[in-house]
Amino acid sequence: MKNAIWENIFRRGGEEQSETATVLRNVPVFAGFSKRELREVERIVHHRNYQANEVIFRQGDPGLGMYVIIQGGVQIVNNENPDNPIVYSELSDGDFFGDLALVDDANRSATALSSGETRLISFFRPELQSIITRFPAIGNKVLMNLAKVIASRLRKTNDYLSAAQQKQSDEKE
Amino acid sequence: MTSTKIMQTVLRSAQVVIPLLVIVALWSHIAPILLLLVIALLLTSILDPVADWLEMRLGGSRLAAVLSIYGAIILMVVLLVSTLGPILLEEARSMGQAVSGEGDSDITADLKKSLMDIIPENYHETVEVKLTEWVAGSGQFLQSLLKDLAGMIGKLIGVIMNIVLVLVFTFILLLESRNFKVAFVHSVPNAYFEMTLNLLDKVHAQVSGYLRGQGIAAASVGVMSTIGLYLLSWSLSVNIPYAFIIGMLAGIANLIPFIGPFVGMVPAIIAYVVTPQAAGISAVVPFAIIAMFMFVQMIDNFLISPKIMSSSVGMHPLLVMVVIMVGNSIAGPLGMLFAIPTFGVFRVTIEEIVWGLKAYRIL
Repeated sequence: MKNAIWENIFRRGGEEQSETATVLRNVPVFAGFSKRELREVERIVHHRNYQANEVIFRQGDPGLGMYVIIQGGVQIVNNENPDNPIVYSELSDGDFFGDLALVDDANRSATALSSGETRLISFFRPELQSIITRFPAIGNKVLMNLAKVIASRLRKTNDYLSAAQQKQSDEKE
Repeated sequence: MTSTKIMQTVLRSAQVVIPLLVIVALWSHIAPILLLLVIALLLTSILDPVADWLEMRLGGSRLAAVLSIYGAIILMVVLLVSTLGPILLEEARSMGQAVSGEGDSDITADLKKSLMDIIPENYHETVEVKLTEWVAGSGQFLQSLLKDLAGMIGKLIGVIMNIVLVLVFTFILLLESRNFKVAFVHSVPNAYFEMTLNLLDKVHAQVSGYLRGQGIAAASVGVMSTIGLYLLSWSLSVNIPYAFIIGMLAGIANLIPFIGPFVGMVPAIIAYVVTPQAAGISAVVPFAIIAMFMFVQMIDNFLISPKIMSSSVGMHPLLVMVVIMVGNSIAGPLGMLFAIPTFGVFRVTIEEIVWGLKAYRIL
């Protein structure tokens, strides 16, 4: 097993870093980042390995940040009724989740479970705040991209809502 | 559980258990270094936001940011020593001469004269006996202090070595804090990963906020008390000596709630009463000194502290006394001084850990 401390002290531009950069570049939150900007993000993200059916975070826990899937799969599950869990979505390589926790510390609205052996990158609120303090230009880019992601979701939700209202009024008529 | 998972759990546990066993076995050797590391960690907590800000200003170079902080500290120490050092030394020398009766002013004779003026004549003999006993006691204390001088020089070298070590540790921690954090969190099991990070962040924010707040409050009280004493001397045309030392003492003592304000007030009144005054001793001046220190406390309590303290460390007076006494029994006068800030750090740390354990439904 590699020693994490020495690995971090004598950090090399190895294969994993370039893989991290490649994965991050394709995540909308880090879209349009230069190599140097991605390198700064790479330095503060965490790498985690999960076995199948391992809990990544639980519904109701305080939210801390987002995860990006390098390899594997993740299920986003509503566990309010443990006997009848509802699977909201199944995510795979390159997908990201939990990004709203970068904005506020509201509790997680669902549970995230690994659906096989899964490698993740995690990027958390304290690290985002640190980036905003040290590199305001990069911090602004993250925040703008995050706003775009949220705005796009809001538009989709509005479309769904409009469609549902239209359907309801059509049914009444 | 698969054999790979069992193996990973065993290896992860070994990474924690083996270093812990080594620490327990070598505790007596490790404890002093650990204490220095804790002090360095606390210093890092205070300086980390400054390093972050400088890193932003200096185009993202952490090394340049940390070197700038150390450069600024060295410059400040040199400036302080060269400008305030002579005043401090002169005040300390004059205070020492006054206590021993060698200088122009004999603090014992002056105190005796001032007391004799105030106290009725039939108590003069008792006062004289008590004063003689006190002076003899002080003399013995000074003699024993001189005997210990050699030991004190040895201790001084030890203290300087420790300060250098703390500065080196702080330098490394400031430079590598993010890598150390990533490395530390890497060894935490997945189930506690988010909780650990959340707790680390909250504890760091609370502790650094608390320490910065205490430091700023102490510095403000010190500066305001010194300026206040000089202003009183000037406006009332009286001589209140050792204003700088007393102001500094008031600032440092501000770390101790309830008792701190008196630590500056009482020496200032004594210094005024025992110093020969051109216009004689006035009963108004001690009250003016008390009013000035109370005013400084009001500014601190209502304007400065509420603005800078991230977490209120409101403590019951009885608890303050107990904590100070424990500090005294552990590390003497220095322990008394730092008992409350140390207790404050422990308190905010424990509060955040309890919050985390409850929020993540472990408690």
